[in-house]
Parts: sequence; structure tokens; C-alpha cells
Amino acid sequence: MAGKSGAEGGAGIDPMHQFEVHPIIELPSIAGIDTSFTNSSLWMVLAVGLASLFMIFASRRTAIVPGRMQLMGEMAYSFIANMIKENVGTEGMKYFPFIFSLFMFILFCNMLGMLPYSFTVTSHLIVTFALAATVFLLITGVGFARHGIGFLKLFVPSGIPVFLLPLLVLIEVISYLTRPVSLSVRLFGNMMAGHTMLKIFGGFVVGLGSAGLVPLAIAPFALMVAFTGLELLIAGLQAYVFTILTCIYLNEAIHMDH
Amino acid sequence: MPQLDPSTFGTQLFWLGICFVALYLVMAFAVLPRIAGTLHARAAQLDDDLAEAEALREKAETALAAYEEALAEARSRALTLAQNMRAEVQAETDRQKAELDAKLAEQAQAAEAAMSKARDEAMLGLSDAAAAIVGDVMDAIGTAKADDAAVAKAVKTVAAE
Repeated sequence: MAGKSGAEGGAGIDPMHQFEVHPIIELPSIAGIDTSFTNSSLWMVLAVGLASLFMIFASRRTAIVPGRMQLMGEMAYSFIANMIKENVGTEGMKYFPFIFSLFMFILFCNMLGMLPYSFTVTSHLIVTFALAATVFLLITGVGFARHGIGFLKLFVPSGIPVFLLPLLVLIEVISYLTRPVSLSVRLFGNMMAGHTMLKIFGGFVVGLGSAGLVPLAIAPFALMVAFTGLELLIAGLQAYVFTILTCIYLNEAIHMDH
Repeated sequence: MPQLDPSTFGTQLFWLGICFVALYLVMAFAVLPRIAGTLHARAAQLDDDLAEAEALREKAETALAAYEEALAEARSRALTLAQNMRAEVQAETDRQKAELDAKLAEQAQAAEAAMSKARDEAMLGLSDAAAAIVGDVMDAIGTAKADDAAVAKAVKTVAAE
């Protein structure tokens, strides 16, 4: 609604417009997959490039007494390493590079999405679902690799009357299979909702301002500033949530303690 | 909602794959081992430093114990020395006192002896004199010839009373 009123003001503000994917460089399809370099691809490459540059620069010095950059890199490292050690244990450190990359990728995509005129990679369900599905497949693979067919015991709760078992096993299987969905929708929903809201308030500010009602535009502007702070928090928090849920699922697959 | 347009799924998945694998390779092989090495080296250095500090502390404690032992020994030696000295002085004093006492006692004895001798002599002279006086008085009265020996005996008897 607000978007439409903003669009009448000539600014062309459609809160969903920011999520549109459009090609920058058209590339041929390979095996039926469109490989065009889009704005989404651009921001993915930027996120990965910045994350890599940051971490490479942060790990360039290996002094015993760290400098500022080195300390930031080590803090990022210890943050994820401690998360894995606390939630999974030392066996989980085998998957540390994957989980660290996952965290950095989501964090940088979320944070770059906060820049004006940028594109938020993680506001697309297909991207978050691909990440969540990767996590799901990896963890299921780890579970079967470690416990063999015994991994299926994960779906059989202990201390339950036999006549209830079929129902509970069904529930357990469904809850296990919906994990990638909940994991991906949580991240996608947070990112999309936040950016849509920011855009709507931005539309208010521009609409009221261009209609000559500048004093009235102060309220949505103040709200927008506050929400921008909140969105920054959410951008970090959702990266954290995605990562820690990955750790919790991994712990279950490794230790099978339900 | 542009998110539900399947025509963009292919490119997004394709580039997501490339980007994520690239990030994973950089992190797993370039960045994380270096940071792990640094953290490990730091932990090792800290352990070394702590061990060294512990060794130094033990050394300091040993030195302190040795110092305290030496101090206690010196103190006990000083105490013994002082005790010996005191005992010596006490013995010397006692000896001198005893000597003095003995000398004084001897002198007192001698003085007492001399005194009693002088008194005896004086007493002897006195009875002689009394006997002579009694003899002279009897002569003067002229009643009887004074017997010197009887007079002396009578005087002695009276004096003894």
C-alpha cells in the first residue's frame, strides 16, 4: 500500500522491486542451467570476496601479540570454534571450515544487503534453501556414516508405549525432514521482511517529503533509522542462528542424544 | 514476489555454488590453518611462560627456605652464645661472692675470737683486782690474815653468780 502511494509520487517505489533478479551479463545455459551473471551473483561474489579479503588480511600476521585486524580474525575464528566445541564437542571440529564458511557467507550477504541500492542474496528463498539443504544433506550423511543404519534410531524415541510408536516415529520423521525448510524460511523471512519494511518506511519519507510535508516525514525517518539499527542486529543474529542450529543438528547426528 | 520466479533459480544456484565453494576453499586452506597455527603457537607460548614462571617461583621459594633456615640457625647460635656468656658471668659472680663470703666469715670469726679473748682477759684481770681489793680491805680491817687463795676462790664464786 505504502509502495503504491510512493509510486504515485513518481519515485517508483515498490517494496518488492529490490528483490528482483536481473542479469548483468547474459551467459549461455550449461546443461539447462542459466549461468547469467546477475545482480544476485554480483553481491554473492562481493560477499565472498570481502569475506575472503577480510579473513586473508586478518590472518596475514601471525604475531603472538595480535594487532587489530589479526585480533578480529581470531575472534571470528574463536567464536565459531567455541560454538562447535560447546554444542558438538571436539569431534565437530572436523566440520569447522564448512560451518565457518557458512557463517561468514550468511553474515557478509546479510550485512552487504544493508547497504543502500545493494541486493540481499539471503532474501531469496532458493539461496537459503540451497544452504539449508546442503547442511541437511551433510548432517544426514554424517549421521549415516557414523552410525550406519543405526542412525534411524534417531526417529524412535525411547520409553514410549509400543502402540504410540508408529505415530511418534512419523512425527519425528516429519520434524526431521522439515528442518531444512524451517532453517531456510527463517533466514529468508527475516531478511525479506526487514528489507521490505525499510523500503516501505523509506517510501513514506520520500512520499511525504516530495509532497511538501517535510515535518511529517520526520516520524517515519526516525523509525527508519531505528529499524536500520534493528536490521543490522538481525543480520548478525540470523547468521548466528543459522550457524548454531547447524551445530545443534550436527551434534544430534554425531552423538544421537535426542 | 520475485523470490518465487523459478526462472532465476538456475543462475542463483549456479553462482551460489561457485561462490560458496570458493569461500570454503579459501577458508579451509588459506585462512583457518594460519589462524589455528597462531592460536596454537600462542597457547604453547603461554604454557611455556607459565611453566617458566612456575619454575622461577619454585626457585625463589627454595631460596627463601634456605634463607629462613640460615636465619634460624644464626638466631639459635646467638641464643646459645648469649646463654653461655650469661652462665659464665653468673659462675664468675658466684665464685667471687663465695670467696668474699668466706673471707668475711673468716674475718668475723677472727674478730669474734679476739673479742672473746679480750673479754676473758678483762674478766680475769677484774677478779684478780677484786681479790686484791678484798685482801687489802681485810688487811685494813685487820680481822684476819687474808688467805690469798681463799679470797680468790670466794671472789670467783661471787663473780660467777
